Amino acid sequence: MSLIFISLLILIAVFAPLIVKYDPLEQNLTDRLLPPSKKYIFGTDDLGRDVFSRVVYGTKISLSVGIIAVGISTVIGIMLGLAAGFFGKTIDTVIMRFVDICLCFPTFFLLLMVIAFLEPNIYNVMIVIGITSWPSITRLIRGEVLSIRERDFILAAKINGISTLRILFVHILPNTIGPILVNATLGIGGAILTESALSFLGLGVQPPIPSWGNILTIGKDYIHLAWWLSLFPGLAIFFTVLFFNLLGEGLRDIFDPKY
Amino acid sequence: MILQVKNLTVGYYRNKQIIPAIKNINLNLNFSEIISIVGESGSGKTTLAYSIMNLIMPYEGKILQGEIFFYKDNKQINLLSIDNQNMRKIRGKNISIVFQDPFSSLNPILTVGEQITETVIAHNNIPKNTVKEYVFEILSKVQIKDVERIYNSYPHQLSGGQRQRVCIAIAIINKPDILIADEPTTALDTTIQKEILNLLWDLQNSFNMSIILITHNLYLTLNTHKIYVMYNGEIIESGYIKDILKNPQKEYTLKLLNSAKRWII
Repeated sequence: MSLIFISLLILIAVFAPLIVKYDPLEQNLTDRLLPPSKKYIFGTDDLGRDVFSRVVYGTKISLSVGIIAVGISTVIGIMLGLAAGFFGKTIDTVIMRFVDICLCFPTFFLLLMVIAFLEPNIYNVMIVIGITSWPSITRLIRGEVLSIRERDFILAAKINGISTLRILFVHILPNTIGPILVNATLGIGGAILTESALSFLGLGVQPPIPSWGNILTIGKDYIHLAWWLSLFPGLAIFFTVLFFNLLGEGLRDIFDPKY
Repeated sequence: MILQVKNLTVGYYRNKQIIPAIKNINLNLNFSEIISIVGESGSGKTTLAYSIMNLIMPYEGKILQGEIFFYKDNKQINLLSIDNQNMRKIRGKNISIVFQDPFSSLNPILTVGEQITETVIAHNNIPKNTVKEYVFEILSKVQIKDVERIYNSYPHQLSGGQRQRVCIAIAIINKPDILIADEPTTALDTTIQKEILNLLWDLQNSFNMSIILITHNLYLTLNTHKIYVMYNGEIIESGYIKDILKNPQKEYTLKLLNSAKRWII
């Protein structure tokens, strides 16, 4: 079910230009703040832009920010988690204390600070969300590696003279793929929320490029006049995050029968 | 002589103290000889095997004294002082192990073929397509009938006996000089036990390797040349199999012998 919804979202993101009737950036000042109708199914905003087109194009932005940000944090998490879990001792201590420090730092504050120094655009948002959410993934992977490296088949591989690098990436990493996938899926939902929040505050994706967060920003100013401006991007965020979480939990059920 | 253990004492850490698990072990292994190490659980058999492979992790324990010499091409190599890189070349190539539990010693997410192939590639510089033929040959050597199917199977699709055969195939594929079999039949049922043991003796014959058989069952040592009886970390009795079976010197050996007799009857 959630998989179907998310596949649909991806299709929408990819085929956005074929779905919408109007250019999301095209202003039509005679049609300002129109309620949903046959012509504009989600209504129009203060500059007469079609909200439906903007929400559809926003899908592309939000999904790509979510996926790429999680990709970045997962790669960092895998590298550090593998190193910490497998080599142990000093390397483990250094990495994990650093993780502890990063985890006590309020993430959103960190995000705001970094974005304030950098230019707020979509790429910086991806990178910043990515590099602020790696500590929890690192911790997760370290835990998995710690339990797997004690298994007999790792010892057997060592005894057969397999190189350390191969043991790490061929024997240990694929055995942790279940939790990694679950965590990444759940993380995409979180990253989309963070991106929306940043864009809402004007520090994320910059107008006129539509993202769900900055459509909401405009909606905030007209909420007493034009409810449709806030409702539709809000619903889009709500359902996307909900279904990513459901997908994550579904995956967890598959990989971990204990739940 | 191919392997010589001299005055070996190994201890494990417990509450910041080192408690010795094996004490003053002396052991000699000749070329293409089969010896067995017999003793109860906790007598230090496996610790001895791991020490020979230099697998005592620094955070677990420590070699307190002694030397282990491996002889190859008229050279004497001390396995305890050699660096990791060179030790890796010896593991799986010159000395290899078959473990007790075939259910946990194969990686669940790689096919049997991949796991055997990587051991070959780790030690030899041969192209991948010729490796496959060689792997097939070894698989049929360990008396696996359906070679093609087993090659492409994952470990969970195989029975216990088949898995142990695969483990043996991995252990012998590089024609090691020494094969350590650490309770290779304990996890299997009785009929398979016999087959696996016979397989080991056949392979020993055709590859001319030395075997160290570790077991708690004296009955399984009938085909070996020499026996070392371990108790509480020490070798309390050793000698040729005939002498020991006829005339055990220690009461403990006699007890082991009596419990093994139940198997024969």
